[in-house]
Amino acid sequence: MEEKKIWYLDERAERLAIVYLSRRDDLVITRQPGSDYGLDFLVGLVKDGEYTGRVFGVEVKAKKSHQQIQPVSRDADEIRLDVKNLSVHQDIPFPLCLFVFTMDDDEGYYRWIKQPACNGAGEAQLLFNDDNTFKRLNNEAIDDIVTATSDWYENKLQASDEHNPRTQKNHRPRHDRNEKARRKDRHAHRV
Amino acid sequence: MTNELGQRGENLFYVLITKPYGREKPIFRPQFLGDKWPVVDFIVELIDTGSIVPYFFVQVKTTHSGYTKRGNRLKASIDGEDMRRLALYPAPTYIVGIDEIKEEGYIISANGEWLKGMSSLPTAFPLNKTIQELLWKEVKDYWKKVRIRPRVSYFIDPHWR
Repeated sequence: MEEKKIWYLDERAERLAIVYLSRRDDLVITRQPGSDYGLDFLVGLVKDGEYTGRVFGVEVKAKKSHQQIQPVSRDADEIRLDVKNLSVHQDIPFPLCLFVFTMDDDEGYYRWIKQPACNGAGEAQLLFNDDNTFKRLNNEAIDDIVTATSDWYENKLQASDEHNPRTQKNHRPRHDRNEKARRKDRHAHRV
Repeated sequence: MTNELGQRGENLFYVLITKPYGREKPIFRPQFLGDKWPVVDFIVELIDTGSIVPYFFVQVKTTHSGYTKRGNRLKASIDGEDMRRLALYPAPTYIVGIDEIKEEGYIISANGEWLKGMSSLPTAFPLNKTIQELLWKEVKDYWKKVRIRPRVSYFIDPHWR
């Protein structure tokens, strides 16, 4: 029987994704309607108790057994998983992760589908990744995902400030500016 | 209890009750009834029981407050009104206490054995493989003993053959 037809796999994997992500109290996890859009969750970042509008996406897949995973090398932390039927919309404009859970031990693994990155000029980029090499999903890994996402938005914001004549005169390197000043600039954009 | 804590507990319950423990598939199929549904959070069907589909109801109580020093009880409370309303369901009903830090759950019957509130929940029955199997058997036996008679409804289609 194909795994996707076993009733509990997808639902249980999605519940596990919520359990893993909700270990942090600064994420707003929103399930997406439908199941075949290549995006199961939108995860919003909260800072100082306020929703930032910064999001990353998560697509979730399930495997019945951890025996379906293959270590990349004996002591490597990376593993290989054969993930089929992954349909991802190229136009998704934010970082996107793939989580895979094995049902017999409830372990999770992840890789980026659209990886947040920064080019040589300091501009935010999203790199499409289709290499099925995964890392173990744990609290540290989720911290890394959140940090990478947050940094990516910071870079985007900085680039946007640099190209906006209304904010250019106020522009200073990021480390000189505090969050309050940045919020003020963002408000000016809207006005 | 905050919404986030409650939702985390509900997801943990789903994961714990559907853990297959080496079986081909889980032995329970839970369905969340929604945040607006009063008193009970889940209806849970038993899988592979033959000619009938036994089920039970669950209310989930989630805490991050840990355990009492005396008796090692989970610091999650339930009030007397909820206990009385749970006992009104003509089906097996249970309370599941979830420790969201350890990500563990404990089940206790709520069929009217105790109608007062509880300020903490016992941890004698952790949701593990053994308890899953005992629960499955208990609920199956309950429905086996209930005499389900065929009945004739007023709402029938005379052309249906």
